[in-house]
Amino acid sequence: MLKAAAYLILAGALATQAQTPNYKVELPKDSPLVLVSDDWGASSAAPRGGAFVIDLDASLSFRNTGARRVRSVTLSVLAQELTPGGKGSVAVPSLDVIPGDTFPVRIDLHLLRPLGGGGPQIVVALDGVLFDDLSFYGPDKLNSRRTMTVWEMEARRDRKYFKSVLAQAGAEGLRNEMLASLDRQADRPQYGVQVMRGRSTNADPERQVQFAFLHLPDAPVDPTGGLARVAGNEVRAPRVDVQSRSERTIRHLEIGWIVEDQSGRKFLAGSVPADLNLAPKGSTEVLEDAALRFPDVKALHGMTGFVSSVEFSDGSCWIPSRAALDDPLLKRVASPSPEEQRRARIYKTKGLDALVAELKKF
Amino acid sequence: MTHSTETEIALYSSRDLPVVRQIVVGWHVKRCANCRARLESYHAVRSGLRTLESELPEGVDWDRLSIEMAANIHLGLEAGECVAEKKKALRGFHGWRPIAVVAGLIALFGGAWWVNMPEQDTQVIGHALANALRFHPSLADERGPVVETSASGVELRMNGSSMAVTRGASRLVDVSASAGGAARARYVDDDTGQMTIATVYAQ
Repeated sequence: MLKAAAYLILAGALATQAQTPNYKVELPKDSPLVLVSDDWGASSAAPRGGAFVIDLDASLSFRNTGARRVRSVTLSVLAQELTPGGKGSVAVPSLDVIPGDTFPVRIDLHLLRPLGGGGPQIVVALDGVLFDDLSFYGPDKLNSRRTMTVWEMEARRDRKYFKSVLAQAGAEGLRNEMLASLDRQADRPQYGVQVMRGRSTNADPERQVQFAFLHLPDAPVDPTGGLARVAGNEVRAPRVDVQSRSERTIRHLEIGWIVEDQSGRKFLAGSVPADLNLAPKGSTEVLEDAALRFPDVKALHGMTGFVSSVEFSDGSCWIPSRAALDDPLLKRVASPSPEEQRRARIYKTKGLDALVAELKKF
Repeated sequence: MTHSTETEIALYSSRDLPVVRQIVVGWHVKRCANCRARLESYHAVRSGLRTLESELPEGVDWDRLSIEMAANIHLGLEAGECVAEKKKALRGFHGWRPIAVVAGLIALFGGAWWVNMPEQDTQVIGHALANALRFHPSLADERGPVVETSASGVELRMNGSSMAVTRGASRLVDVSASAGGAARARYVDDDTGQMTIATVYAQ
């Protein structure tokens, strides 16, 4: 009797566990991509407390039905639209998908959706496609056009650089370049960061700290001054004055944010994005109502900023050149481009021949 | 009529009762012949003791004797408690059954927690406990959305609960955060060389 009751309880408990979520892949009717197959693998949803915990482990396959080569794709993945949480995106840069060809997109996310309003439901939607001529298709709700354009420009810059190394120094020179890149990536100081919007969290007394700036010679915008409030291991409310050097209107820029801890170690904390309407040769102030906290750091001492990307009003973008990134500080702390990281990984796992073959594809 | 107890009569005779009780017992004794007789017997005993006291040898230090006696009584009481506690402890935890019962309860509680308690709630409780133990000053800061990068990926948390986490069967090669409220994780598939960039958003 007791055993039967125990089995009943166990069966009931297990029945409340895994459920199969409803999946939906939304592509506009005129989309240059069509869904060829979708494998949701071991994806599951389980009610926990007041929400469904959804584990997505999916592989989607798309075909390029357009007339241009696809360079990047961004998919939004939504478990709930209106409240924070349950919202993510998956992007694949550095593609070269010719018309008619297919390519996979893997989705590995863990999302939360409140109970009610139907069962667990996941909507995967196309946010944008970037083509080889840097033209764009998609609703761009996640600003994927700008992000993918920057990635593609960085990829082109780095491919050009590695090709020049291959041409001038041969395969051995490329090998040395990859080894140096892998060393830099391994030695790059990285600390966990917590970002909170619109509120401070630290009870420590705060002080204002001035930004120092790295002035990149060909940047269309020059930072002229700035400060942020520092309290313990938290820095908040960055404010940067910028002066445009360009003849074109600037609508977005990102400032790389390097911080220095109590022992003098410098590391890339993150970036400060700003949507603006900066007239040619004009100046403005960039403000961000956010706080960044570094749990592994006791105290912050200094900050350095640099312009990491700029978007003009016509949608074109500026990124730093390889020469500008040779600055010793940037070389040590700045994140390599996705393309450089991808190529270094190919060299490490498949060897030099595979890397050279990959380089010749583009 | 309710008679006074033997103890009350004895204490009344030596004027050791509390003031109010002394008045009440005195009032009763005046009206009750039975209790008055018992009181008289106590008075007789006290006067007898006084006679004996006068016959004791001179030079006895009564204060010192009193302190020593009190100390001996306390010592005896404490020793008795020690022995009684030990016996009780041995009686309560003797044998394997209590251990099995405790282990069973722990297993039952752990199992029930594992089956029923959301992982997020476990995280919240663990987080709160950790903060409380560290006397962390920012206990109240977890009320809004927080995007976080770490060596294992990026995560969006709300009220201490994990709302979105990037994972990857592929190799994680980089994480980054934006003050705009987003965090990114880059993964490279070692088989295909394809890079996938997952982002979670606080807004």
